[in-house]
Amino acid sequence: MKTILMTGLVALAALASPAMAQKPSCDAKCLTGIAQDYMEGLVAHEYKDLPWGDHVGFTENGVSINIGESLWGAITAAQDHPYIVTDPESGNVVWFGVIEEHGLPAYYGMRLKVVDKHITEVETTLGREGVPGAFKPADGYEVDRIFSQKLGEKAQSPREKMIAIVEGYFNSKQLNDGTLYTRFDDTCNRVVNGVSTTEGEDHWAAKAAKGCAHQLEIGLYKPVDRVRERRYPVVDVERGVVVALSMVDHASRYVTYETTDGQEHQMPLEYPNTLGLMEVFKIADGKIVRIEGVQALLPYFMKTRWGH
Amino acid sequence: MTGYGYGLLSAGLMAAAAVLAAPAQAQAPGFESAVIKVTCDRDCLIDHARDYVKALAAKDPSRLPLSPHVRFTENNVEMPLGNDGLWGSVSRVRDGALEVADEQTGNVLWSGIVEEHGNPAYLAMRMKVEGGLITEVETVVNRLPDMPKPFGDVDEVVHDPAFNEILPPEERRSRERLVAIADGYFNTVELNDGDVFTQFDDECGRLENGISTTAPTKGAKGGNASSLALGCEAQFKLGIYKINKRIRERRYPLVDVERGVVVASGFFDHANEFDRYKLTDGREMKTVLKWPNSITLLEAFKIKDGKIYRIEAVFTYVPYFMHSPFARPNTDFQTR
Repeated sequence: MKTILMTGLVALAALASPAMAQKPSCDAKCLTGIAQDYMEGLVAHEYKDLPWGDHVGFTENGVSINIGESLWGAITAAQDHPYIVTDPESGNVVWFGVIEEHGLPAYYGMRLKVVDKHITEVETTLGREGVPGAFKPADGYEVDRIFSQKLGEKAQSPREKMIAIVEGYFNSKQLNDGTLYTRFDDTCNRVVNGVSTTEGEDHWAAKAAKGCAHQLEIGLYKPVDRVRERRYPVVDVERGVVVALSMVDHASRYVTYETTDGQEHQMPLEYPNTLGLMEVFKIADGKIVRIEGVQALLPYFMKTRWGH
Repeated sequence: MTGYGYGLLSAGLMAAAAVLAAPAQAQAPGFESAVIKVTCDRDCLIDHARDYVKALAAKDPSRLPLSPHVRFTENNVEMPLGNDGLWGSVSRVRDGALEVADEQTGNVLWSGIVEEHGNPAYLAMRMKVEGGLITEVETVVNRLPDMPKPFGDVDEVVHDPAFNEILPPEERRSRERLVAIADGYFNTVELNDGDVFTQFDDECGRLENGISTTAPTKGAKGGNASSLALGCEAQFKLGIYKINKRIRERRYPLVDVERGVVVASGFFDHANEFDRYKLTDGREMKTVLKWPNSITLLEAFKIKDGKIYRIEAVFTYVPYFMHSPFARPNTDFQTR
């Protein structure tokens, strides 16, 4: 048995080693170029010349749809200086910024997966004006520069640890009762669809309590029943960036609740709903420093092709 | 070896296979038996629907005769029945509803008003009953707040009694013709450019989420098509509904030939590839929303003498191009 197992392990190692040693077929520059080409094609409503794989998956706000439909038909402009983050190891690149539909700006998060320099997956999230929920007019919005800045070696964390920190954020938020399963920097701020949810007075959560950690420590997000379909397709260790995708379910079985500090709160939406989120996390010294994202209000418990 | 490999089967296996295969060969696709037996008549189906909303109000699904394999959707998302979605948030079911039943397919519609934590919402619910058990429940729940859409005063909603009236035989049409008339309505809405592919009664009226969108209505707010033209046909001849790129995943699970009623389900895709368009009289229109969206609906048609007389719909927004789990697998949206 021992011999067989060892033989198996040797075989596994042999199988694994070329992949581990293999240089990604598309590096950061290559991934960035493909994302830029995609956006140029999108704005021009021309998709046929893009480097498509044989089987392409495409979603907009969680719905599987053909390339050429939906935003491909409505877009009129895209931001000149978006935030782009790449992960050559996973072959993913994310473009995050502002687009316009018939002149109306919207927040746009787009993930591309590239295999052998061909696009095989396109996942997009749009935060649009007029939809209930967080939204600040997107004119002039730019993702914070901190996400592009490299960390000193000491402030960096291994890929797995970074994902665990973000996973811990979702675990803290889900059925939030004050227990923290992650760590935050004291300056942590979270911005979704251009609105700070942890500072200022523009969002119901920020009005109720300030700060990433404090909000979770008092159980402000108790109405979050589940954070599901969690995925972490982009990790940039040098910059301390993780891009996470998730579906946040609010069953709305109750609409008022008490936080651990004794305050009573009213839920902003009093019917079952789900938020589809693409969020970028900045992690330094093992702590979440900043979160920025785009969210779409979706039918309750909606699933996507990516979650299965 | 003979053709298709039959020669490899023993006589015993072949006999067993024949016994297993026989019932399936005797039925047409989609039918369990060549003889359609009505096991639950209209009253029985409507009782099932009323029991359902009573159980919903009590948040007690255990009262219901649910099939072990019951399928439940809320706004096209499939989920377990009884705890999530409206089942988790409902606080009241109001009396009075539009009720339609189809003894032949075992489907029933209940379309009325519910409340979630005291907030009113429109609920349209299609249920399928087979062998005394509920096998399918498909719901559209229209809630506020949301993007601009009709949402009538729930205290003022009147379901037209015409939906319950039995037609004299000369005003009835066959099941297939009734479906064709409703389908023609969707063909007219799709890419609406003034062409009319169905027939309307001169008095045709449409109630959408409790608001008449074909006649001036008290409480109607902006975006109501009745401010542009009155009457079903006149609106379509004007091309008001041009923004509908597709009416997709059309299904017609309920037909009541005696009463001339068809209930349809589907999606209206508003691609918003343009944000301005012209009516057939030359007037320019601007789309209310600038981005792609779809609406999901359950819509009842009353058809008298081959003409659409009344339409009552409950709809809400869903992400553009969303699908229904009840639509046929591999539905080709080009061919529907």
